[in-house]
Amino acid sequence: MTDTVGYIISGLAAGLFGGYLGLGGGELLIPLLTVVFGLDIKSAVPISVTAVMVNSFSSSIEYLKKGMVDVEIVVILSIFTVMGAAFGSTINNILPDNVIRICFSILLIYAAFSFLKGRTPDNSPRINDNRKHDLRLVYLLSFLTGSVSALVGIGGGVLLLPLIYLMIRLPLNTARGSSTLIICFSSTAAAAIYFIQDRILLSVVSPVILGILIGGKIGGFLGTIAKPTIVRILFFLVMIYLAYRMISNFTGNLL
Amino acid sequence: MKERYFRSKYITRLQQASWYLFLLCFALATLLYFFENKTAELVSYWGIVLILLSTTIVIATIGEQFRKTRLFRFWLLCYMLIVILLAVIIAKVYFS
Repeated sequence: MTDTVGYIISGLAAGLFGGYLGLGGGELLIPLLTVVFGLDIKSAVPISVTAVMVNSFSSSIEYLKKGMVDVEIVVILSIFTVMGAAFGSTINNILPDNVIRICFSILLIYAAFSFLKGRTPDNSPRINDNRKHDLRLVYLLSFLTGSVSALVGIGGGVLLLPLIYLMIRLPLNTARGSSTLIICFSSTAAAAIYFIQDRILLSVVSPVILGILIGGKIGGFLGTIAKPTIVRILFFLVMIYLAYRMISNFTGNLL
Repeated sequence: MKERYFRSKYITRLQQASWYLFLLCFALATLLYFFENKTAELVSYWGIVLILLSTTIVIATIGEQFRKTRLFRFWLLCYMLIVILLAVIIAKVYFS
């Protein structure tokens, strides 16, 4: 019973965190499930993927309500991200794991500082004409984002948001809203695969989803009224933390 | 002149309704797990099926909204996304 309450609270925290920043929330959920509740990573990942999909689903409602989602971008980038993820999971045995992790860490640190620095001031919550029109490079990058995410086993949000914000030049709130909906669509395939393969622990996923449904809704609402500066700083810290975790895994493997 | 802007009203309504259904379903499942009732697993199982179906329906609804606003390229892309998702699932489950 105590565990069930703990799972609900974990889901709530991941939902708040993910919904607010426009991420899936897996960055928080996996450490909570593995470290606090002692689940092994093979059980935690399917739970996290399913919860991330639900979280993105519920937090995107608030962003959509306020017109903070560029649906055209969402549809196109979802296609490229899903194809990239399928490609990444197919080639994950070819590339050496440590090389991928180090490249990914460098990419994360670069993206973190670019994101913190920001671009031309723009606090408008609405979709505007600032959107870049030639997006071929962005399509390629979203394909790579999907591939890299599948290769290192993370959700794509941490790379998608800087991509949408810095390269497509959408307002930060719209970028976050669009990012949540892309994560929802792109994690559907992975969640369905785990579900069909019967790898989701139903007794754990139910309370986690219950918590994340509520947390995601509140996080999404808070995200729509959040100050871009605070979001950028928090997101920067998350990216640096992830880069650190990747590098420490690499050095751990070396030692 | 035809309104070219995408109306997200139907999608948010659909998502909101689904959200309440999910909440009801997983609150019930969690409650049943509290009392160690065997039905909990069944409720949870169908809850996940509901989530996957809802996501697919949301993509299709977005597609239909594009069709209404005469953005046929995006209408096709939405259905292409569904086909790609299904293809990835089938490929990973049955061929890998």
